[in-house]
Amino acid sequence: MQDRPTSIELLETIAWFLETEVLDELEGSKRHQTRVAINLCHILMREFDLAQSGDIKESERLGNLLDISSEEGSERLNQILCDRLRQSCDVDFEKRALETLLENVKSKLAIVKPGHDDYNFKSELDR
Amino acid sequence: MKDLSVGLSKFLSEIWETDVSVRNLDRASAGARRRNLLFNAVTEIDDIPLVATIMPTPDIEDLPMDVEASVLEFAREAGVPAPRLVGVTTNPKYVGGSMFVTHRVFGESIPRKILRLSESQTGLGDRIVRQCGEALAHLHKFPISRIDSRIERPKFDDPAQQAVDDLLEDHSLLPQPSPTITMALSWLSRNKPASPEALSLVHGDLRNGNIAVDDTGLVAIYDWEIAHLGDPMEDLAWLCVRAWRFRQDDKEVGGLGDRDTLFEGYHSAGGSIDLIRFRWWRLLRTVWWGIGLAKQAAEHLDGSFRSIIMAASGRRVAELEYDILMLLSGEYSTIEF
Repeated sequence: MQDRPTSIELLETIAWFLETEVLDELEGSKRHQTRVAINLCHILMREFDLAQSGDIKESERLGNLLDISSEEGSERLNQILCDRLRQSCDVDFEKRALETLLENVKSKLAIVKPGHDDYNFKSELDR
Repeated sequence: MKDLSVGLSKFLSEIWETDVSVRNLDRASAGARRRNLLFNAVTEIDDIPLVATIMPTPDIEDLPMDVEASVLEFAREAGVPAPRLVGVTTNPKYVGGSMFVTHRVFGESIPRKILRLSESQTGLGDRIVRQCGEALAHLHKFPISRIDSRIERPKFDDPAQQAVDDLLEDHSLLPQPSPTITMALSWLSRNKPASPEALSLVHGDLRNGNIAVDDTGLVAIYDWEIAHLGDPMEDLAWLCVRAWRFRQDDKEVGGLGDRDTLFEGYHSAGGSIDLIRFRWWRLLRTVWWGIGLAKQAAEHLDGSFRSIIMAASGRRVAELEYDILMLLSGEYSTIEF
């Protein structure tokens, strides 16, 4: 077991350092790139908290959709889903897949861009 | 920078047939591969603000610089506010790569600053949106008969089929295929719309990010590097893709205004809208950008283009997947809001 700071505390420290000590020294594209680096630190901090449970749920949802054991893991199950979507054009299956994929994407967004799924496109879908 | 300054003076002195010196040479915000340099060209009688766009190494995905320069001239002739061309060279002897030089346009081009400017003045956002519609109509109705033959033309003059084929290939080359994108490509392939009556020159990347505005409205449309012959609805759809709204999601056109205003501008300048094709291209270009972001991450990871921005792009794919699924849900009408 490593001593503190923990990994997540170190990430928070890197983000804090870049934000308070580095950012003001920079301008133009370097400043933009540093903002991106800070954002990546925040993404990883959320990932430490959420990824494990998110991955398990993703596998469970995919397993249910495909009627395959979720123990195959999400990478393999996503691959199987891609193959099935390519091979058939079963609209009912696609509708169920869409709902599963939407749940899985929302789990990813909770880490990479919280709030992105607040917008529901309602006003622009029907026209 | 000194070499660049010397190269630029030599180039301009040759094409203008007079001594030209360069002052105030500065880098503008650079694209991923190209470099934009701001400078003033000084002659005995003039001091002219210019921009040099330099491609250090040829990029197979984009137009050669001399073709892009001809597109700028085509667009201006059509009545579109594209930057005015000064000269172009494919000879690397001046600045180490091919280059074109244009007159500098003074206006705001950073998306968030454009949004702030539009919010500070009542009606400015709508005016910019309307002017984008007008500019696109002018571009799309201009006859393509005299256009450079090296500009990409879709196989069998079927832009939708070409676009789907290109994306299927790009997606198949990614290290991590996306079921969302796979499903969207399958839907797009099965629901391909009819081709437009005539092909048009399509800018291909008109969005908040490739325009310059001031307090009078739209002053320039930049970045013609992926212009191609295709379906005019592609340009209108790309302008409305959510990724370019910068959190102003209720304003479909770049966070600046609504789609009806864009369509009104397009109509008023002689364009006609096909909503079915518009919707199809809106989904296609959302998929296109999702794949584009995944490609950027892949290029970073395989070492061909290391960049923190490109790495971060991989984690933006989920945003596009969400947008794709929501657009698809509208087509399937399965989701209860």
